[in-house]
Amino acid sequence: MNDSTNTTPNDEASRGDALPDPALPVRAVIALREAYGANRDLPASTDAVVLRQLFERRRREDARRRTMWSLQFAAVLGLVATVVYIGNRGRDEARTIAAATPADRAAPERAATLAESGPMSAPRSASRVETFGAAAQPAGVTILDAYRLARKVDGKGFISSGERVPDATEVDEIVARVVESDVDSLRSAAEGDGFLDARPESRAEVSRSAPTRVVSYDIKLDTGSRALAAFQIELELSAPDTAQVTGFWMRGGSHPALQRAPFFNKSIAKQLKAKPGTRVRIPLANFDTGEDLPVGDQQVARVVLSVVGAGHPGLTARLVVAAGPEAVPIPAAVRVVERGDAEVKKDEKK
Amino acid sequence: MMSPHHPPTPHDDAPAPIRFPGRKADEDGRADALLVGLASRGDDEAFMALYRRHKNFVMNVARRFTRDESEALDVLQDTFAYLLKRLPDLRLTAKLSTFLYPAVKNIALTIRRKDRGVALTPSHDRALDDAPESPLSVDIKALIANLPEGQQEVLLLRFVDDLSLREVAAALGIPVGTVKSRLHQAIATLREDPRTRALFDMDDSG
Repeated sequence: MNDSTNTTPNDEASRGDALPDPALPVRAVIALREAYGANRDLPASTDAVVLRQLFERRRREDARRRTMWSLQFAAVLGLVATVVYIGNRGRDEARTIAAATPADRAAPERAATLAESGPMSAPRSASRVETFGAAAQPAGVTILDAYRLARKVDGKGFISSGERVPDATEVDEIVARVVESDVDSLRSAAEGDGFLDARPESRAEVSRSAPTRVVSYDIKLDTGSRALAAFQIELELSAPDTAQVTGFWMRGGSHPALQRAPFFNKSIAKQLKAKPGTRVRIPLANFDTGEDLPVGDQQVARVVLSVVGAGHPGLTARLVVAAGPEAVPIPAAVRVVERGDAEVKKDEKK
Repeated sequence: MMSPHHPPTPHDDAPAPIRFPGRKADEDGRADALLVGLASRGDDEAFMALYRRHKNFVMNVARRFTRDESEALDVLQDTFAYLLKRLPDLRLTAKLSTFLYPAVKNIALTIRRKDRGVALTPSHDRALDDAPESPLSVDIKALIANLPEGQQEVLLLRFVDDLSLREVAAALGIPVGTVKSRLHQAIATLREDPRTRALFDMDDSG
């Protein structure tokens, strides 16, 4: 302040405290107020305008504030939704990882074994009727994971001790994933060696009067001198345009160890009878934990079809993996051998 | 010109306000703090009562800083808009004038700074009052204009705007002692100046 150049604010305050309250003569006060127009009052019309504009401004401000709150609320909601989504996705991934744990846990072991067994003789993509060569270690869950666990259940496990011993349900769950079935269907299919659903669809392409034929295919696997403990094959069955597959059976192999019908998804029958010309992929797998295992070229499964109408179904096989008792992939060749067909008299069907 | 019902009490720190012809008495007896509390809860009548009570104070201060009637009206509106904005969390512990004064001053100075680059029009130089000023008023304003800024503020707030010493101190954010000290210096200047000495010749201030 200009009026206190030689004093500090504290000096000024303490000096003022000692002074009496300052006062002006009334006429000086009046003169001051007249000079500064203190007596003038605003007209009512001005008040009305000012107040109206003030309230209008406040209304706009409130609206803006509400909009901001809405935006902030929406942003927070979005954030919460994102966090929940990420959390759920994380849990799903954790479940997936947990479900795939047996295979993933075995991955380093597989890699080591593959390195020991040398290069595989055929690429995994080879998939004609006769495919030769063992598949390289396939990605994801395979029948080998179920086989390993089943070996543990049998008490002949080779997995290091200290791991949790799984129960048979866990084996079934893995097998069901391998053949793309659910556990209940898998178990019910395993009770028999196949199933029959021999009611043909009434379609223009398939004559009702056409005879029913039975066609069977042997799935053969050649492992050379190595014993076969587990295998996983992918079949592709294509019904001709002029015929319809009306029945489907799956039977086991020729060797006692593999006589039980392989695991497969029995719901494929519905797809097969959907319409002529249908093409169906059938994952197929089997294993045996016993000591007596087949060696060389042998039948590991048989597919039996009942067909109505002219034309011949086509069946191809692709080897996913074959493994010996050590549960490591071995070289193998898969082929499909058609056994010919036989006409079934209608009165013999039942 | 003094109202017979309100004789001055020279030694009172907060003398009863001097009523002047044409100056309306405040009809709403509720305290500022109560009205602020009501207005903050959306009571428009309470806000209008505050406006009516303090509009002249705001206009007077605004006129002093802007020296233009239209700008002073802008300041009036902006000041009460600021009050409206602050109402939700405003906790008043003194008279509302002490809260309004710094706001009016800042808003007025901001408006003046904005207008500094604009070419002056007749309205900018327009006299605040169309009525011709008396020679005494001209002398008083010239004399006060020469006072240091701090003395001008306390003098006008105390005797023109009728704030008590404590309210002036609160409005300016300075100690009461400083207010008294500056007032004494300003009054001494007025008393000694030949143009205003006559106002003190028959000293009725005690």
